[in-house]
Amino acid sequence: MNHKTGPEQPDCASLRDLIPAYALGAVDAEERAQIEAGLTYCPELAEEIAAYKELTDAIHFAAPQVAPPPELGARILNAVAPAPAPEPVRIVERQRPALRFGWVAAAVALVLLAVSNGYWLVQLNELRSEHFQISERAENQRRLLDALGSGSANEALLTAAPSNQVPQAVLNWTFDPDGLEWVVLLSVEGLEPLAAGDYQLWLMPDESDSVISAGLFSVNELGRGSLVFALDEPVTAYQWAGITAEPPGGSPAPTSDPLVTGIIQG
Amino acid sequence: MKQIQQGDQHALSDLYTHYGRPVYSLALRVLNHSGAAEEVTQEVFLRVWDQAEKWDPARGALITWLLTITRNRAIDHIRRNRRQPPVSETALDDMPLHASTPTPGGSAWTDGQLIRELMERLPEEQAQLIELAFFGGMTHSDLAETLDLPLGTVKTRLRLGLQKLRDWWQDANQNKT
Repeated sequence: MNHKTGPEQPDCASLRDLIPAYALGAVDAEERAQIEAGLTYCPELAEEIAAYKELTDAIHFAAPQVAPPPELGARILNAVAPAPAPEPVRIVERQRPALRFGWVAAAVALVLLAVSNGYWLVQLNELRSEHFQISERAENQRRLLDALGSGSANEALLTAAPSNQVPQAVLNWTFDPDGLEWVVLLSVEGLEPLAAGDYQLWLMPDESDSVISAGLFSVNELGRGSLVFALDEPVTAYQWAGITAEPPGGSPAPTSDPLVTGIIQG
Repeated sequence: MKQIQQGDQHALSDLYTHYGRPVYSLALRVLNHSGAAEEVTQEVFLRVWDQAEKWDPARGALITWLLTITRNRAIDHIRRNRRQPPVSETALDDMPLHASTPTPGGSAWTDGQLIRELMERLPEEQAQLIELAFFGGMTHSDLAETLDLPLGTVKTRLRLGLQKLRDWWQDANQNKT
C-alpha cells in the first residue's frame, strides 16, 4: 500500500497558479489532489478559489439561450408521475348460449391482459425512473472511485499502535463537485473477521474530545475490508481516526480500545 | 425545493418552467446535439426530483447548482458516448439562437451576456482554451493532446486568459455598483 511518510510542504505559489484552471475544472487529477492537499497549508488558495468561482459560476450562464422542445417538460413530468389506473373492461353477455362460455372466457382474458398491462406499465415507468437514478449514481460513483483509487487522491495511513505492523488502514479522500461534499474511502487489511459484530470507524474533530462515527464495515476471510462515506469538510478537519470492534449495528460511542488508530495528516 | 422534497409535482413543473431553458441551453452548448441535450435536461430534473435535499442554499443559488449538475452530466454524456465535441473555432456568439421569446431577466443572464462580451476581447487562443475546458470538459492534458500544444503552453495560456477574464469581470461588476 502506498502511503506518505510525512507531510510535504506544498509550493503555495505554484499551486496558486493552478487555481484559475482548478475553478474551471480543467486541472488533471494529480493537480487537483495537490491543490486540495495544499488547502490546509496555503490558506490564501481558498480565497483565490472563491474569487474564480464567481467567474466560473457566471460562465455557466454564457451559453446562448435556446428554448427546449415544447414536449420535453411533459416528458419530465410523466417520468415522475404515477401511471394512471387502467380502465375497467365491461363484460357483455352474448345472445347465443352455446357460445357464451367462449365469449366470457375471452372477455375475462382481455380484462386480465389489461390489468396486467397496466401493472407492467407502472412497473416499467418505475423501472425507467429507477434506471435513470441508478445510471446517474453509478456514473458518479465510478468517477469518484476512479479518483479515489487513482493514487492521486489525498491519503492518510492508520496503523495498529504501537507498531507499524498489520492491521493497517488507509484513508483516501477526494472532493465530489456534484454533491459538493468530500468522499472518503477507508481500506483496511489485517483485521480478523468478527464472528458477531461490526467494525466501526471513528473520527475526532479538531479541538474536540468527542468522536463521531463514520460508519460500519466488515472484513473478508483475508482480513480486508473497505468503507466509503461522505463528509462536509476534508478529512484533514479531523485530527484522529480509529477503528474498534463493536456489537452488531455499531455503538453510539467506542466500547473498546481502538485496534487501528492514527493521526490524520493531509 | 421543500415542496419537491415532499413529492409535489406542481413544484417540479414550476422549477422546469423557470429553469428548463438555461439547463437545456447549457446542455446544448456542451453537446451540440438537441437529442442529447434533451436527455441530459431530463436527467437533471429527475435528479432534482430524486435528491432535492442535496441542495444547500448556503452554498449558492439554486440555478447555479442546477447548471453545475447540467455541465457535469453533459460532460459525462460526452465521455460515456464517446461523443467528443469538435475542436471548433466557433465563438459563443456564433451559436444560433432559436428562441423568439425574451430570455429570463435577472442578473444571472446579464452576467452571461457580459461574459460572452469579455470572452470576445480575449486573444483567440486563450478564449478557445477556456471554451474547450469549460464546455468540453477538457483538462490540461486533454487540451494539449487535442490541440497538439506543449502542456506548459496550455497551462500558461489558460491561466492568463482566466486571469484577464477575472480582472475584467471584477472591473465590470465594480462599475455597475
